[in-house]
Amino acid sequence: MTTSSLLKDAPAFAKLAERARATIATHGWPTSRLEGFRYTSLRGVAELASDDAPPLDAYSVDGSSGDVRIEPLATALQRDDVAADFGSVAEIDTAEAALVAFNTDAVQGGLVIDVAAGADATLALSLGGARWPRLLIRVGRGARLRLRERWTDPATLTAPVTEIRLSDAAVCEHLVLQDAPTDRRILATVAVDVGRDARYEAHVVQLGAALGRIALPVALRGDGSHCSLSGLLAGAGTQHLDAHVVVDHIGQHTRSEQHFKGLFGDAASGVFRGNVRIAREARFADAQQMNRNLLLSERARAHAKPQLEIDNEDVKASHGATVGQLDANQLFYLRSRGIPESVARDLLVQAFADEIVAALPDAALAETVRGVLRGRLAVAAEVHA
Amino acid sequence: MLTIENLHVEVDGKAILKGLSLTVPAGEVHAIMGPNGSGKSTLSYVLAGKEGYVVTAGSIRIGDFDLLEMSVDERAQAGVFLAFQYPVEVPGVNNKVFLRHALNAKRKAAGQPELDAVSFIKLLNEKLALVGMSKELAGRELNSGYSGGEKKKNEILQMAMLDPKLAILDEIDSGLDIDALKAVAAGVNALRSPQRSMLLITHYQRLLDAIAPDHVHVLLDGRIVHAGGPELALELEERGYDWLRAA
Ligand SMILES: Nc1ncnc2c1ncn2[C@@H]1O[C@H](COP(=O)(O)OP(=O)(O)OP(=O)(O)O)[C@@H](O)[C@H]1O
Ligand SMILES: [Mg+2]
Repeated sequence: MTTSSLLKDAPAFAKLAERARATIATHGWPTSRLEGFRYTSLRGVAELASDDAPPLDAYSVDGSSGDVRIEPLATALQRDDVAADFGSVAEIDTAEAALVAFNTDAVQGGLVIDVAAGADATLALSLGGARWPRLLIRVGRGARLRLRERWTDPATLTAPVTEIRLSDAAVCEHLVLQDAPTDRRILATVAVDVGRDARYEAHVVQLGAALGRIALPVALRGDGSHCSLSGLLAGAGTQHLDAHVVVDHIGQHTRSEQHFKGLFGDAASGVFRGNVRIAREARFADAQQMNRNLLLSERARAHAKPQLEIDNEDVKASHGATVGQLDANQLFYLRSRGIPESVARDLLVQAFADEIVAALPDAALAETVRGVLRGRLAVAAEVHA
Repeated sequence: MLTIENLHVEVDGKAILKGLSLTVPAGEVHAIMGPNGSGKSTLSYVLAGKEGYVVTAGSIRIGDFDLLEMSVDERAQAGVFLAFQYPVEVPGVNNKVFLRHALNAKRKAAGQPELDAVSFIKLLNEKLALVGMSKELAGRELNSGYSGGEKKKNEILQMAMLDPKLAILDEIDSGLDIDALKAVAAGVNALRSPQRSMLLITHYQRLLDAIAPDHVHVLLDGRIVHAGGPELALELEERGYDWLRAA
């Protein structure tokens, strides 16, 4: 019996699978007519997906500490409480959510992760070779989870779906480092539901893959809930990287911060979309958003699309987006001290990226990211020399 | 020694320097004074090699080098140093890392080995003491969030570290309080040397009280129209520039 059919035997799964199939039947693969896919083409991806996916591991656990329970999805789903939460965080019925529907329909396995109320836990995961992997993460009341994910060797095409549910006053600090080989396509969804006074903190770094997209819908449901989302997209060659953030302010006194940077060389391209929606009842919301993109070549492209939808007046909101080249005055200043142009450029590029990298909550992973960027710059400098 | 002959420079198609000639022998400090917009900063940028400043005629030599044949970084490696009127903030680049890159680029160009970390710090501490700047400030992001006076001090620190043949100080006194002016002037005086030419661009006598120049030149409408000894600065303070315009 495959994992997939095991999952489908879980009674509570049947209804969700039906909704998934309905979405697939109605909408199919996302097309560029959808706002969220306007600059990220999925051409050729559907063909890849129709190949039979080898039933590989969805995730491997690289390490954990503290009071955290890790169960295979197939067995955990037999429990009613898990079945009730599974599929309850990520949207599944809309055209934009079709990837979640595909994942739900074909899900091959994954993990259910529970952090007990009040516990303090750390967990490091690596994404495996499955096409349709899945995570359900539940952080109990007042608990804290430090989650580190490494997406280094995924399937040629993978569309992981992660659902994170934070109970009241819980904290989840989530770091994702995507450094996959540049022949891979990754279409990830990380959906988060944040409870009262709880906090979700994401650090998303995408360096690899031919196509790397992370959709990050966060619902600030509880009063006083807070999310802080930051990320770096660094592409070269013909890479295309996309961060698609949607923050829903639902509770009162909710706060969101987004700080994303894009760095694109050669013919690489990137998209940052940050939607902030502040509901009528979400009084005293505070939403800050910043997106900066640096283009290192004439052929590189960045699309920055911040968007604020505000339905009430008691809010503080700010947003800004820029797409630009290296600052000519800074370059001149460095060169006027004798620093060769290629070195001056590298220093400025590293400085740009380091604003995000230095804030990563894991020093070793930050150093890994710096190493990859340095390697890339050195290669670029050689080519130009 | 710096030799500029009949220099004509255009910016965005507009003639700014119109036949400027100037010689600064090694070991001397020359002041350049002149009204706003007369072309003083333009001259400093042309010497440093900034893009967009088009030399349509004339020559600039320092020692054996034809400056106009050299790129911005080559000029600096050969010993040209410009203390900016408005030093540029470079957030994210550490001041010390920057200084080490600059110093090693110069050493490399001179065929010297790179300075190891220990010798670098030793040299840095020595120069910090010379210009009266704190270690804390030297370790921050380059000029980022520095006060006006701190930025100017940092320019002098860079000059001390890089030991240039020609230093151009563009309004190094602007924005400084009385004590900072004294400190910066002391730093500059300490860096006077028989091997070094200095060009001091300023509007004010008080800087020239602190750093006594060997000669004073007046730059007006893109040309040196008058020159004299230190007493010329006093005369300008009294009479302004109009009498020179008429001449
Ligand atoms: N990009 C430009 N395009 C057109 N004119 C320019 C440009 N840059 C400088 N100028 C002009 O060149 C002239 C000389 O400017 P410069 O900055 O050299 O003057 P300055 O003598 O240093 O003045 P100050 O004492 O105010 O510092 C000014 O009239 C200025 O407006
Ligand atoms: Mg000026």
